[in-house]
Amino acid sequence: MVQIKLTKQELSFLKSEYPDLKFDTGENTISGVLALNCTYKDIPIKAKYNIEFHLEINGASILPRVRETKGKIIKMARRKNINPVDFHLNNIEGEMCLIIPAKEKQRYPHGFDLKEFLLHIEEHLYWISYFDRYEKKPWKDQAHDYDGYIELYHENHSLRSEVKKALETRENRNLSRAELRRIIRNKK
Amino acid sequence: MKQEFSKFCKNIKLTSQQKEDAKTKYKGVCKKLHNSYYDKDYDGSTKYLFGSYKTKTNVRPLTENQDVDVLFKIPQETFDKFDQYESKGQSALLQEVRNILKEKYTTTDKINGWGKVVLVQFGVGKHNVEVLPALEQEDGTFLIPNSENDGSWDTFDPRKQIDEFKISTNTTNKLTAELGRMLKTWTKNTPSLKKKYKSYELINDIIEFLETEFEDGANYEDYHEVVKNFFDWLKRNCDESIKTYVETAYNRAVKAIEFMDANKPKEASEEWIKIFGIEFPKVKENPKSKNENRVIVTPSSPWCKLN
Repeated sequence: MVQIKLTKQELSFLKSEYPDLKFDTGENTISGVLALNCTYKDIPIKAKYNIEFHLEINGASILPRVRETKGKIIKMARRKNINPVDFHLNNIEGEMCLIIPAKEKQRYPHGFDLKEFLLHIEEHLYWISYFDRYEKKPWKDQAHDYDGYIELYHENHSLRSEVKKALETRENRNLSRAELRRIIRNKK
Repeated sequence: MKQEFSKFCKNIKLTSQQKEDAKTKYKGVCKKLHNSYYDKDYDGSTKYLFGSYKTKTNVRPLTENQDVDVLFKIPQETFDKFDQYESKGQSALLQEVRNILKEKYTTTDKINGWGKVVLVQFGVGKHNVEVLPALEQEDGTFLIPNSENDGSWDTFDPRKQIDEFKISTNTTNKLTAELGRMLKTWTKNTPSLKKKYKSYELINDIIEFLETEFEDGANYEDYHEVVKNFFDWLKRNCDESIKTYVETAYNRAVKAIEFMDANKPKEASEEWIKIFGIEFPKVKENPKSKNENRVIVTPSSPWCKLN
Protein backbone atom coordinates (compact mmCIF):
# COMPACT_ATOMS: atom_id res chain seq x y z
CA MET A 1 0.00 0.00 0.00
CA VAL A 2 1.46 3.34 -1.04
CA GLN A 3 0.41 6.63 0.56
CA ILE A 4 -0.08 9.63 -1.74
CA LYS A 5 1.19 12.92 -0.35
CA LEU A 6 -0.51 16.07 -1.57
CA THR A 7 1.56 19.14 -2.33
CA LYS A 8 0.72 22.60 -1.00
CA GLN A 9 -0.44 23.57 -4.47
CA GLU A 10 -2.79 20.61 -4.63
CA LEU A 11 -4.24 21.42 -1.21
CA SER A 12 -4.78 25.01 -2.18
CA PHE A 13 -6.38 23.89 -5.47
CA LEU A 14 -8.72 21.61 -3.54
CA LYS A 15 -9.72 24.40 -1.20
CA SER A 16 -10.45 26.91 -3.94
CA GLU A 17 -12.06 24.66 -6.57
CA TYR A 18 -13.82 22.10 -4.38
CA PRO A 19 -14.68 23.96 -1.16
CA ASP A 20 -17.10 21.25 -0.03
CA LEU A 21 -14.41 18.56 -0.19
CA LYS A 22 -12.22 18.49 2.91
CA PHE A 23 -8.77 17.03 3.37
CA ASP A 24 -8.17 15.17 6.63
CA THR A 25 -4.44 15.21 7.36
CA GLY A 26 -4.51 12.49 10.00
CA GLU A 27 -6.50 10.08 7.89
CA ASN A 28 -4.94 11.27 4.61
CA THR A 29 -8.47 11.30 3.22
CA ILE A 30 -10.53 13.61 1.06
CA SER A 31 -14.26 13.58 1.71
CA GLY A 32 -17.38 15.69 1.41
CA VAL A 33 -19.76 16.89 -1.26
CA LEU A 34 -18.76 16.98 -4.88
CA ALA A 35 -21.05 19.31 -6.78
CA LEU A 36 -20.80 18.62 -10.46
CA ASN A 37 -21.89 21.00 -13.16
CA CYS A 38 -20.93 19.44 -16.48
CA THR A 39 -22.14 19.28 -20.04
CA TYR A 40 -21.64 16.51 -22.53
CA LYS A 41 -22.94 16.89 -26.07
CA ASP A 42 -25.03 19.90 -25.02
CA ILE A 43 -26.76 18.11 -22.15
CA PRO A 44 -25.99 19.90 -18.88
CA ILE A 45 -26.26 18.09 -15.57
CA LYS A 46 -25.90 19.48 -12.08
CA ALA A 47 -25.81 17.05 -9.19
CA LYS A 48 -24.30 16.51 -5.78
CA TYR A 49 -22.69 13.37 -4.44
CA ASN A 50 -21.01 12.62 -1.14
CA ILE A 51 -17.67 10.98 -1.82
CA GLU A 52 -14.63 9.81 0.09
CA PHE A 53 -11.23 8.51 -0.90
CA HIS A 54 -8.11 7.58 1.03
CA LEU A 55 -5.01 8.92 -0.60
CA GLU A 56 -3.43 5.54 -1.01
CA ILE A 57 -3.04 3.04 -3.79
CA ASN A 58 -2.74 -0.68 -3.69
CA GLY A 59 -2.63 -3.52 -6.15
CA ALA A 60 -2.23 -2.89 -9.82
CA SER A 61 -4.16 0.40 -9.87
CA ILE A 62 -2.48 3.79 -9.66
CA LEU A 63 -5.70 5.42 -8.43
CA PRO A 64 -7.23 5.60 -4.95
CA ARG A 65 -10.52 3.81 -4.37
CA VAL A 66 -13.43 6.25 -4.31
CA ARG A 67 -16.66 5.63 -2.46
CA GLU A 68 -20.03 7.33 -2.81
CA THR A 69 -20.87 7.45 0.86
CA LYS A 70 -24.61 8.23 1.07
CA GLY A 71 -25.78 5.23 -0.93
CA LYS A 72 -27.26 7.48 -3.61
CA ILE A 73 -26.07 5.30 -6.49
CA ILE A 74 -27.14 2.01 -4.98
CA LYS A 75 -30.58 3.51 -4.32
CA MET A 76 -30.82 4.52 -8.00
CA ALA A 77 -30.09 0.92 -8.94
CA ARG A 78 -32.71 -0.40 -6.51
CA ARG A 79 -35.30 2.10 -7.72
CA LYS A 80 -34.76 0.98 -11.28
CA ASN A 81 -34.41 -2.74 -10.45
CA ILE A 82 -30.99 -2.72 -12.07
CA ASN A 83 -27.96 -4.63 -10.86
CA PRO A 84 -25.66 -2.11 -9.06
CA VAL A 85 -22.73 -3.31 -11.18
CA ASP A 86 -24.46 -1.68 -14.15
CA PHE A 87 -24.07 1.60 -12.26
CA HIS A 88 -20.36 0.69 -11.98
CA LEU A 89 -20.37 0.01 -8.29
CA ASN A 90 -17.84 -2.57 -7.15
CA ASN A 91 -19.61 -3.30 -3.88
CA ILE A 92 -22.45 -2.26 -1.59
CA GLU A 93 -20.09 0.09 0.26
CA GLY A 94 -20.42 2.38 -2.75
CA GLU A 95 -16.97 1.86 -4.25
CA MET A 96 -17.04 3.24 -7.77
CA CYS A 97 -15.06 1.83 -10.64
CA LEU A 98 -13.94 4.76 -12.72
CA ILE A 99 -11.79 3.03 -15.31
CA ILE A 100 -10.36 -0.32 -16.30
CA PRO A 101 -6.81 -0.42 -14.82
CA ALA A 102 -5.27 -1.12 -18.23
CA LYS A 103 -6.35 2.35 -19.36
CA GLU A 104 -5.16 4.25 -16.30
CA LYS A 105 -1.71 4.99 -17.70
CA GLN A 106 -3.22 6.55 -20.81
CA ARG A 107 -5.24 8.94 -18.71
CA TYR A 108 -2.62 9.44 -16.02
CA PRO A 109 0.71 9.29 -17.93
CA HIS A 110 2.62 10.77 -14.97
CA GLY A 111 0.86 8.77 -12.27
CA PHE A 112 -1.78 10.02 -9.85
CA ASP A 113 -2.78 13.64 -10.37
CA LEU A 114 -5.38 15.11 -7.98
CA LYS A 115 -6.72 17.66 -10.45
CA GLU A 116 -7.21 15.07 -13.18
CA PHE A 117 -8.63 12.60 -10.68
CA LEU A 118 -11.33 15.02 -9.50
CA LEU A 119 -12.27 15.81 -13.11
CA HIS A 120 -12.44 12.08 -13.70
CA ILE A 121 -14.76 11.57 -10.72
CA GLU A 122 -17.00 14.41 -11.95
CA GLU A 123 -17.15 12.82 -15.37
CA HIS A 124 -17.98 9.44 -13.85
CA LEU A 125 -20.76 10.95 -11.75
CA TYR A 126 -22.08 12.72 -14.83
CA TRP A 127 -22.34 9.27 -16.47
CA ILE A 128 -24.22 7.95 -13.42
CA SER A 129 -26.63 10.91 -13.27
CA TYR A 130 -27.29 10.73 -17.00
CA PHE A 131 -27.98 6.99 -16.85
CA ASP A 132 -30.34 7.55 -13.91
CA ARG A 133 -32.21 10.37 -15.65
CA TYR A 134 -32.46 9.06 -19.20
CA GLU A 135 -31.98 5.30 -18.75
CA LYS A 136 -29.39 5.30 -21.50
CA LYS A 137 -25.66 5.76 -21.43
CA PRO A 138 -24.10 9.12 -22.35
CA TRP A 139 -21.08 7.27 -23.69
CA LYS A 140 -20.13 3.65 -23.93
CA ASP A 141 -19.00 1.95 -20.76
CA GLN A 142 -16.51 -0.87 -20.55
CA ALA A 143 -17.86 -4.41 -20.29
CA HIS A 144 -17.71 -5.78 -16.75
CA ASP A 145 -14.73 -7.57 -15.29
CA TYR A 146 -12.50 -9.56 -17.70
CA ASP A 147 -14.94 -9.08 -20.56
CA GLY A 148 -13.78 -5.47 -20.40
CA TYR A 149 -10.23 -6.62 -21.13
CA ILE A 150 -11.33 -8.74 -24.06
CA GLU A 151 -13.23 -5.75 -25.40
CA LEU A 152 -10.14 -3.60 -24.91
CA TYR A 153 -7.99 -6.12 -26.81
CA HIS A 154 -10.13 -5.48 -29.89
CA GLU A 155 -10.65 -1.75 -29.50
CA ASN A 156 -7.15 -0.60 -28.61
CA HIS A 157 -4.13 -2.43 -30.06
CA SER A 158 -1.67 -0.36 -28.05
CA LEU A 159 -3.09 -1.83 -24.84
CA ARG A 160 -2.72 -5.48 -25.80
CA SER A 161 0.25 -6.01 -23.50
CA GLU A 162 -1.82 -4.63 -20.60
CA VAL A 163 -4.65 -6.97 -21.54
CA LYS A 164 -2.25 -9.90 -21.63
CA LYS A 165 -0.94 -9.02 -18.17
CA ALA A 166 -4.46 -8.83 -16.75
CA LEU A 167 -5.47 -12.16 -18.27
CA GLU A 168 -2.27 -13.77 -17.00
CA THR A 169 -3.10 -12.52 -13.51
CA ARG A 170 -6.51 -14.14 -13.79
CA GLU A 171 -5.10 -17.42 -15.14
CA ASN A 172 -2.26 -17.22 -12.61
CA ARG A 173 0.34 -18.18 -15.24
CA ASN A 174 2.09 -16.82 -18.27
CA LEU A 175 0.19 -17.11 -21.53
CA SER A 176 1.66 -17.85 -24.95
CA ARG A 177 0.39 -15.81 -27.91
CA ALA A 178 -1.60 -18.82 -29.09
CA GLU A 179 -3.23 -19.27 -25.69
CA LEU A 180 -4.05 -15.59 -25.48
CA ARG A 181 -5.66 -15.67 -28.91
CA ARG A 182 -7.65 -18.75 -27.92
CA ILE A 183 -9.01 -17.03 -24.79
CA ILE A 184 -9.91 -13.93 -26.76
CA ARG A 185 -11.55 -15.99 -29.53
CA ASN A 186 -13.60 -18.08 -27.09
CA LYS A 187 -14.91 -14.97 -25.39
CA LYS A 188 -15.79 -13.17 -28.61
CA MET B 1 -35.78 26.06 -7.50
CA LYS B 2 -35.28 25.98 -3.75
CA GLN B 3 -37.31 29.14 -3.20
CA GLU B 4 -40.04 28.11 -5.63
CA PHE B 5 -40.52 24.71 -3.98
CA SER B 6 -40.57 26.34 -0.57
CA LYS B 7 -43.19 28.86 -1.73
CA PHE B 8 -45.19 26.15 -3.49
CA CYS B 9 -45.35 24.11 -0.28
CA LYS B 10 -46.60 27.15 1.62
CA ASN B 11 -49.14 27.96 -1.12
CA ILE B 12 -50.83 24.59 -0.89
CA LYS B 13 -50.87 24.19 2.87
CA LEU B 14 -54.24 24.95 4.47
CA THR B 15 -54.52 28.29 6.22
CA SER B 16 -55.27 28.31 9.94
CA GLN B 17 -58.72 29.65 9.05
CA GLN B 18 -59.38 26.67 6.77
CA LYS B 19 -58.15 24.26 9.44
CA GLU B 20 -60.43 25.91 11.95
CA ASP B 21 -63.33 25.67 9.49
CA ALA B 22 -62.73 21.95 9.04
CA LYS B 23 -62.63 21.45 12.78
CA THR B 24 -65.86 23.36 13.29
CA LYS B 25 -67.58 21.34 10.57
CA TYR B 26 -66.62 17.85 11.68
CA LYS B 27 -67.12 18.74 15.34
CA GLY B 28 -70.62 20.00 14.56
CA VAL B 29 -71.51 16.81 12.69
CA CYS B 30 -70.08 14.46 15.32
CA LYS B 31 -71.55 16.36 18.26
CA LYS B 32 -75.00 16.21 16.72
CA LEU B 33 -74.70 12.45 16.22
CA HIS B 34 -73.22 11.96 19.68
CA ASN B 35 -76.10 13.78 21.35
CA SER B 36 -78.54 11.53 19.54
CA TYR B 37 -76.83 8.24 20.38
CA TYR B 38 -75.28 8.85 23.81
CA ASP B 39 -76.48 10.29 27.11
CA LYS B 40 -73.09 11.64 28.25
CA ASP B 41 -71.67 14.98 27.09
CA TYR B 42 -69.67 15.10 23.87
CA ASP B 43 -65.88 15.07 24.48
CA GLY B 44 -64.69 13.98 21.03
CA SER B 45 -64.00 10.35 22.03
CA THR B 46 -66.81 9.02 19.86
CA LYS B 47 -65.20 10.24 16.66
CA TYR B 48 -62.09 9.07 14.83
CA LEU B 49 -60.51 11.27 12.18
CA PHE B 50 -58.69 9.62 9.30
CA GLY B 51 -57.69 10.41 5.73
CA SER B 52 -56.02 13.60 4.59
CA TYR B 53 -57.30 15.75 7.40
CA LYS B 54 -55.70 13.45 9.94
CA THR B 55 -52.43 13.23 8.00
CA LYS B 56 -52.51 16.97 7.26
CA THR B 57 -52.05 16.25 3.58
CA ASN B 58 -55.11 18.09 2.37
CA VAL B 59 -54.32 20.99 0.08
CA ARG B 60 -55.78 24.27 -1.00
CA PRO B 61 -57.51 25.66 -2.91
CA LEU B 62 -60.40 23.63 -1.53
CA THR B 63 -62.59 21.92 -4.08
CA GLU B 64 -65.96 20.26 -3.73
CA ASN B 65 -64.31 16.84 -3.66
CA GLN B 66 -62.25 17.57 -0.58
CA ASP B 67 -63.82 16.07 2.50
CA VAL B 68 -62.93 15.67 6.12
CA ASP B 69 -63.18 11.92 6.70
CA VAL B 70 -64.47 10.98 10.10
CA LEU B 71 -65.76 7.83 11.72
CA PHE B 72 -68.56 8.18 14.20
CA LYS B 73 -68.48 5.36 16.75
CA ILE B 74 -71.99 4.01 17.15
CA PRO B 75 -73.02 2.24 20.38
CA GLN B 76 -73.12 -1.59 20.36
CA GLU B 77 -76.91 -1.58 20.77
CA THR B 78 -77.34 0.60 17.67
CA PHE B 79 -75.18 -1.80 15.69
CA ASP B 80 -77.16 -4.78 17.07
CA LYS B 81 -80.44 -3.14 16.15
CA PHE B 82 -79.51 -2.68 12.48
CA ASP B 83 -77.62 -5.95 12.31
CA GLN B 84 -80.84 -7.77 13.20
CA TYR B 85 -82.57 -6.54 10.07
CA GLU B 86 -83.13 -9.35 7.63
CA SER B 87 -81.85 -7.13 4.86
CA LYS B 88 -80.81 -3.55 4.20
CA GLY B 89 -80.01 -2.81 7.86
CA GLN B 90 -76.90 -0.97 6.74
CA SER B 91 -78.89 1.27 4.43
CA ALA B 92 -81.32 1.98 7.27
CA LEU B 93 -78.45 2.98 9.56
CA LEU B 94 -77.11 5.42 6.97
CA GLN B 95 -80.59 6.80 6.53
CA GLU B 96 -81.02 7.26 10.26
CA VAL B 97 -77.71 9.12 10.48
CA ARG B 98 -78.74 11.25 7.53
CA ASN B 99 -82.04 12.12 9.18
CA ILE B 100 -80.41 13.07 12.48
CA LEU B 101 -78.01 15.38 10.66
CA LYS B 102 -80.88 16.89 8.68
CA GLU B 103 -82.32 18.19 11.95
CA LYS B 104 -79.25 20.41 12.30
CA TYR B 105 -78.25 21.08 8.72
CA THR B 106 -81.58 22.10 7.36
CA THR B 107 -81.67 24.44 4.45
CA THR B 108 -78.42 25.31 2.75
CA ASP B 109 -76.52 22.11 3.24
CA LYS B 110 -76.91 18.94 1.23
CA ILE B 111 -76.80 15.59 2.96
CA ASN B 112 -76.50 12.37 1.03
CA GLY B 113 -76.25 8.84 2.30
CA TRP B 114 -75.05 6.12 -0.04
CA GLY B 115 -72.63 3.23 -0.20
CA LYS B 116 -70.80 3.45 3.09
CA VAL B 117 -70.94 7.09 4.03
CA VAL B 118 -73.08 10.10 4.73
CA LEU B 119 -71.78 13.24 3.08
CA VAL B 120 -72.58 16.64 4.51
CA GLN B 121 -71.86 19.28 1.90
CA PHE B 122 -71.29 22.88 2.88
CA GLY B 123 -70.76 25.96 0.74
CA VAL B 124 -68.07 26.57 -1.89
CA GLY B 125 -64.58 26.87 -0.43
CA LYS B 126 -65.61 25.11 2.78
CA HIS B 127 -64.85 21.62 3.94
CA ASN B 128 -67.41 18.91 3.43
CA VAL B 129 -67.69 16.19 6.01
CA GLU B 130 -67.86 12.52 5.07
CA VAL B 131 -69.04 10.59 8.07
CA LEU B 132 -68.94 6.82 8.43
CA PRO B 133 -71.04 5.38 11.26
CA ALA B 134 -68.91 2.53 12.60
CA LEU B 135 -68.65 0.01 15.37
CA GLU B 136 -65.24 0.00 17.01
CA GLN B 137 -63.94 -3.50 17.63
CA GLU B 138 -61.56 -4.77 20.30
CA ASP B 139 -58.65 -5.08 17.86
CA GLY B 140 -58.97 -1.40 16.92
CA THR B 141 -60.59 -2.01 13.54
CA PHE B 142 -64.10 -0.84 12.69
CA LEU B 143 -67.18 -2.44 11.18
CA ILE B 144 -68.77 -0.04 8.71
CA PRO B 145 -72.06 -0.39 6.84
CA ASN B 146 -72.01 -1.20 3.16
CA SER B 147 -75.47 -0.59 1.77
CA GLU B 148 -74.80 -2.10 -1.64
CA ASN B 149 -76.95 -5.09 -2.66
CA ASP B 150 -78.71 -6.37 0.46
CA GLY B 151 -76.13 -4.79 2.71
CA SER B 152 -73.15 -6.05 4.66
CA TRP B 153 -70.64 -4.97 7.31
CA ASP B 154 -67.11 -4.30 6.08
CA THR B 155 -64.03 -4.32 8.24
CA PHE B 156 -62.16 -1.04 7.98
CA ASP B 157 -58.73 -0.39 9.45
CA PRO B 158 -57.82 3.30 9.08
CA ARG B 159 -55.44 3.14 12.06
CA LYS B 160 -52.92 1.02 10.15
CA GLN B 161 -52.29 3.66 7.49
CA ILE B 162 -52.36 6.50 10.02
CA ASP B 163 -49.76 4.72 12.16
CA GLU B 164 -47.57 3.96 9.14
CA PHE B 165 -47.89 7.54 8.01
CA LYS B 166 -46.93 8.91 11.44
CA ILE B 167 -43.81 6.74 11.57
CA SER B 168 -42.82 7.72 8.04
CA THR B 169 -43.35 11.44 8.42
CA ASN B 170 -41.45 11.50 11.74
CA THR B 171 -38.55 9.55 10.24
CA THR B 172 -38.38 11.70 7.12
CA ASN B 173 -38.60 14.98 9.00
CA LYS B 174 -42.12 15.59 7.61
CA LEU B 175 -41.15 14.92 3.99
CA THR B 176 -43.93 12.30 3.76
CA ALA B 177 -46.57 14.94 4.47
CA GLU B 178 -44.94 17.57 2.28
CA LEU B 179 -44.56 15.19 -0.67
CA GLY B 180 -48.13 14.01 -0.05
CA ARG B 181 -49.42 17.55 -0.40
CA MET B 182 -47.33 18.28 -3.50
CA LEU B 183 -48.45 15.11 -5.24
CA LYS B 184 -52.07 15.69 -4.34
CA THR B 185 -51.88 18.87 -6.37
CA TRP B 186 -50.56 16.71 -9.23
CA THR B 187 -53.61 14.43 -9.01
CA LYS B 188 -55.93 17.44 -8.62
CA ASN B 189 -54.32 18.99 -11.67
CA THR B 190 -54.92 15.77 -13.62
CA PRO B 191 -58.69 15.25 -13.21
CA SER B 192 -58.96 11.95 -15.07
CA LEU B 193 -56.16 10.52 -12.88
CA LYS B 194 -57.85 11.52 -9.63
CA LYS B 195 -60.61 8.99 -10.21
CA LYS B 196 -58.14 6.17 -10.86
CA TYR B 197 -55.60 6.91 -8.16
CA LYS B 198 -57.08 7.37 -4.71
CA SER B 199 -55.51 9.54 -2.05
CA TYR B 200 -54.84 6.63 0.29
CA GLU B 201 -53.06 4.76 -2.51
CA LEU B 202 -50.89 7.81 -3.17
CA ILE B 203 -50.00 8.09 0.52
CA ASN B 204 -49.17 4.36 0.72
CA ASP B 205 -46.92 4.73 -2.33
CA ILE B 206 -45.16 7.74 -0.85
CA ILE B 207 -44.52 5.84 2.39
CA GLU B 208 -43.09 2.90 0.44
CA PHE B 209 -40.95 5.12 -1.79
CA LEU B 210 -39.51 7.02 1.18
CA GLU B 211 -38.44 3.76 2.73
CA THR B 212 -36.02 3.34 -0.17
CA GLU B 213 -34.84 6.92 -0.81
CA PHE B 214 -34.67 10.17 1.18
CA GLU B 215 -35.31 8.14 4.33
CA ASP B 216 -33.99 10.99 6.48
CA GLY B 217 -35.88 13.70 4.59
CA ALA B 218 -34.69 16.31 2.14
CA ASN B 219 -34.11 20.05 1.84
CA TYR B 220 -36.12 22.25 -0.50
CA GLU B 221 -33.11 22.42 -2.82
CA ASP B 222 -33.49 18.67 -3.39
CA TYR B 223 -37.27 18.60 -3.83
CA HIS B 224 -37.02 18.51 -7.62
CA GLU B 225 -35.03 15.30 -7.28
CA VAL B 226 -37.44 13.85 -4.71
CA VAL B 227 -40.38 14.43 -7.07
CA LYS B 228 -38.55 13.13 -10.16
CA ASN B 229 -37.37 10.02 -8.33
CA PHE B 230 -40.84 9.36 -6.93
CA PHE B 231 -42.32 9.35 -10.44
CA ASP B 232 -39.47 7.12 -11.60
CA TRP B 233 -40.21 4.70 -8.77
CA LEU B 234 -43.97 4.90 -9.31
CA LYS B 235 -43.84 4.12 -13.03
CA ARG B 236 -42.29 0.78 -12.11
CA ASN B 237 -44.67 0.08 -9.25
CA CYS B 238 -48.03 1.45 -10.34
CA ASP B 239 -51.15 -0.04 -11.82
CA GLU B 240 -51.19 -0.20 -15.63
CA SER B 241 -54.23 2.12 -15.65
CA ILE B 242 -52.24 5.12 -14.38
CA LYS B 243 -48.89 4.38 -16.00
CA THR B 244 -49.16 6.89 -18.83
CA TYR B 245 -50.00 9.68 -16.37
CA VAL B 246 -46.95 8.82 -14.29
CA GLU B 247 -44.69 8.61 -17.34
CA THR B 248 -45.93 12.00 -18.55
CA ALA B 249 -45.25 13.50 -15.12
CA TYR B 250 -41.79 11.90 -15.04
CA ASN B 251 -40.90 13.26 -18.47
CA ARG B 252 -42.07 16.72 -17.46
CA ALA B 253 -40.02 16.57 -14.26
CA VAL B 254 -36.96 15.57 -16.30
CA LYS B 255 -37.58 18.43 -18.71
CA ALA B 256 -37.95 20.86 -15.80
CA ILE B 257 -34.65 19.65 -14.35
CA GLU B 258 -32.97 19.99 -17.75
CA PHE B 259 -34.04 23.65 -17.78
CA MET B 260 -32.85 24.08 -14.20
CA ASP B 261 -29.45 22.63 -15.10
CA ALA B 262 -29.28 24.92 -18.13
CA ASN B 263 -29.87 27.92 -15.84
CA LYS B 264 -33.34 28.55 -17.25
CA PRO B 265 -35.57 28.66 -14.15
CA LYS B 266 -38.34 30.44 -16.06
CA GLU B 267 -38.84 27.50 -18.44
CA ALA B 268 -38.29 25.07 -15.57
CA SER B 269 -41.10 26.66 -13.55
CA GLU B 270 -43.41 26.35 -16.57
CA GLU B 271 -42.78 22.60 -16.63
CA TRP B 272 -43.43 22.27 -12.90
CA ILE B 273 -46.67 24.22 -13.40
CA LYS B 274 -47.71 21.63 -15.99
CA ILE B 275 -47.35 18.98 -13.27
CA PHE B 276 -48.62 20.81 -10.20
CA GLY B 277 -50.82 23.57 -11.55
CA ILE B 278 -50.73 27.29 -10.93
CA GLU B 279 -49.99 27.01 -7.23
CA PHE B 280 -46.38 26.42 -8.26
CA PRO B 281 -44.77 29.87 -8.55
CA LYS B 282 -43.86 31.05 -12.02
CA VAL B 283 -40.37 32.49 -12.42
CA LYS B 284 -40.63 35.70 -14.43
CA GLU B 285 -37.20 35.87 -16.00
CA ASN B 286 -33.96 33.95 -16.29
CA PRO B 287 -30.75 35.18 -14.67
CA LYS B 288 -28.49 37.21 -16.94
CA SER B 289 -25.31 35.38 -15.91
CA LYS B 290 -24.30 32.41 -18.01
CA ASN B 291 -24.00 28.91 -16.63
CA GLU B 292 -20.30 28.25 -16.06
CA ASN B 293 -20.13 24.53 -16.52
CA ARG B 294 -17.41 22.18 -17.53
CA VAL B 295 -17.65 20.62 -20.95
CA ILE B 296 -16.72 16.96 -21.06
CA VAL B 297 -14.88 16.16 -24.27
CA THR B 298 -13.20 12.76 -24.21
CA PRO B 299 -14.49 10.90 -21.20
CA SER B 300 -13.19 7.60 -19.87
CA SER B 301 -15.43 4.57 -19.88
CA PRO B 302 -16.55 3.39 -16.47
CA TRP B 303 -15.84 -0.27 -15.71
CA CYS B 304 -16.78 -2.73 -13.01
CA LYS B 305 -14.81 -5.46 -11.35
CA LEU B 306 -17.01 -8.40 -10.44
CA ASN B 307 -16.20 -10.10 -7.14
